[in-house]
Amino acid sequence: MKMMARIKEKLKRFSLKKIFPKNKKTPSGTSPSKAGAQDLPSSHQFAAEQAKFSYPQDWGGYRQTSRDLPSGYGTDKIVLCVRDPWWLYTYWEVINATWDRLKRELGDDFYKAKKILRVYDVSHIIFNGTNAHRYFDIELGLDSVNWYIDTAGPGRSWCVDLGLRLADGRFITIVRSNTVSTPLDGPSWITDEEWMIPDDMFARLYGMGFGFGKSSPVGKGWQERFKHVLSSGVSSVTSILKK
Amino acid sequence: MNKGYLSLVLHGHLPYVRHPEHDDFLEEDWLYEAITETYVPLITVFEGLVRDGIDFRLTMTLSPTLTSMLTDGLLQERYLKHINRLIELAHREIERTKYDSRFNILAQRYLDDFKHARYIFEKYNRNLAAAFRSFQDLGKLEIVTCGATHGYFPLMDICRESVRAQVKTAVTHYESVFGRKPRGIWLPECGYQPGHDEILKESGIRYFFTDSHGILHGTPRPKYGVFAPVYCRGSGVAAFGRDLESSKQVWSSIEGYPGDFNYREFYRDIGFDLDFEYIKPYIHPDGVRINTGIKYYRITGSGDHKEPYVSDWAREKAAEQAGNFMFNRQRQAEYLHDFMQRKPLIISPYDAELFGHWWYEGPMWIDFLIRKISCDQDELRLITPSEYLEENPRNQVITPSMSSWGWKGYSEMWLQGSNDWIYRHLHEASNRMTELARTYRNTNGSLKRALNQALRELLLAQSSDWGFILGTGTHTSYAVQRTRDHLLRFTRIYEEIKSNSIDEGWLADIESKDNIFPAIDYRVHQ
Repeated sequence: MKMMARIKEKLKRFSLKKIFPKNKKTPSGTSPSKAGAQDLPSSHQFAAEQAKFSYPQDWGGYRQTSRDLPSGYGTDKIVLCVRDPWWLYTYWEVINATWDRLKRELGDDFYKAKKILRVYDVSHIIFNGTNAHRYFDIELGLDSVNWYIDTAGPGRSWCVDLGLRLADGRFITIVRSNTVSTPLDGPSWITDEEWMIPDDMFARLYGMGFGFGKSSPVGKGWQERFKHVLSSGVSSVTSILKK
Repeated sequence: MNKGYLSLVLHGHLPYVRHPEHDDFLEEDWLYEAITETYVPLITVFEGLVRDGIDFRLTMTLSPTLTSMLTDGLLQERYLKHINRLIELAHREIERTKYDSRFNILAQRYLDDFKHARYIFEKYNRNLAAAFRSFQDLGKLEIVTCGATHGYFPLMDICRESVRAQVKTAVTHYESVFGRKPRGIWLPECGYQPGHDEILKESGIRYFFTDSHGILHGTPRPKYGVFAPVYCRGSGVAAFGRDLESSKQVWSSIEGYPGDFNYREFYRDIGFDLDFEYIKPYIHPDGVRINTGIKYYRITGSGDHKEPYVSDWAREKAAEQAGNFMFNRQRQAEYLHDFMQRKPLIISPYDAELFGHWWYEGPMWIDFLIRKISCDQDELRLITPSEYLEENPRNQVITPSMSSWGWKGYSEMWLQGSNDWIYRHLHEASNRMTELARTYRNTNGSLKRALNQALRELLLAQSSDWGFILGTGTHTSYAVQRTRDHLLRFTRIYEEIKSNSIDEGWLADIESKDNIFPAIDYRVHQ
């Protein structure tokens, strides 16, 4: 928590004015790249990163591509991403054929239904659609294709269904997302310690223990060499080295 | 006997910008400015240290996109043209300022700097990657790799095949440039997602860096905080956490070193200040004013009034701040040593381009710092992460936390209203690339070329730089175009492969434009 407090304090101290001092305006030029009016980060780190991409304006020298990216790719899909310990981002695509099918199947109910994101807390379980610890619904606008979800749940795992909630309360899943985990926003409560020495480093230490020095062999056959050393009276050598 | 260690880590990266179809392309200046203001001054500092017999250790990323540009013939040719034009401008500046010694002495300095940049550039046969390699071969510099095009890994987690392609392509490229395998990696934007360490392990990478909270919020709790590396549970790859205190001393907008009033003011460039007719031949041919790199003022104060730069004052300040930085690290190491009963490691990573380009005096500060650490004391020693691991192989095993060093510490810089639209397309392209790699296992001829080019286009679209620029909300059109262009090129190749109708003429054209990673192998995207 101390660490978060430090980060927060750092962010509080941020002043755009300081980082992006006013540039002298010249009649035929605009000032170099600066942050916009958004609440963007502080510090020279950000200013320096942005200064890497400094150029005075969108000069339009790059040939514009006439084609646009497609609005969809023709499959039903929902993807869930983690933005930070508290927020998720999801985007989806549901093709017209699927909407048509739902309309056919549900008849009038379709038009009374709400388009919903159902957010499941699936921490530490294999989610089968019914065993979530809890869930909450977000009502969506008809045209929405993405959403930022406030989970307020650091250190948890999440899965999302895009679906329809009918007037009678039934929920119909159209498409289910991948599962993601939000990171902790503070230190872990688990304090068990486990320590490790990588195998190759251990092999080297092992070799040094037999008096081969830092460049002791770690590859194939090294055990054979040690066996050979052991069988040829190495104990007297090591005892000399100890003196 | 030293009490602890300091690892200075400079992250050198620029996105791949190369436009053979234009004679004079503004965004290529990002590279030319960084060569003159950052890479050459750093090489000069390293040369000086070696010449003077100062034993130093520094860790540096040279991202695969950056090394690709530094070794590209066309960009090398264009840099020479660029620096020659600056030399000409500096000559004119000496003439223009001859009646005002305050500026004239600075104009002379710029002329010397530019000539020196050209000298260094030619000394290493125009290949600055080779210059950095020479310091690695001497054992002074440890060069780590990065994601092939600096894709932001946490937002690729849904398609880990792309993370693997970013890592494997980077490793192969690193070997071709530096003649050995990389030991470490700088995860683009320091973006770590648990599990990606397994992919690093597959490529033989021993360690990576995270921001402080990546380690501090790891599970279980790290006994030594960020002052000792940890091994990732499962993979055993080591993670080194950033020390915020030393970062803040340099980066902070309030007490950060680069904001000192004696230092050079970044925003007062003659490209903007001088009469349009005079400066016209040295700005963009379309009449767009640009930073020339010649800046005569010091920061002076918080207001708009600026006084001329005084080199000696800035130099003194850089020396003083290097001393201050070292003093603070000594105290930190001393305290931590008693507390930990082990020699702590302080990891201080910075954007390489901070030094010289943004903070003009930065390379000089590094020079002072290294010399002071080497000659003035014995409490603190410089070390590379691999050397530290050799010396301290026993470390705690944890799962670090998802994190980045970007705004707010996670993914928001690259995932907000202004840039979230790109992921729908990037993820789809990743899925399609996986499909291609699985479908076409052994190929040759134009099909193989098309598959390789498809991966190049996907990787280029994934650069976190585009998302970053979109996130800043200023001058975004180039970033939008690059994202769209690479994705559209990818999609066209995908469709042509699927319909068995590869347009060879067009393929050859984009191969020559997006020519990064000549030895790329599309099969790594699995």
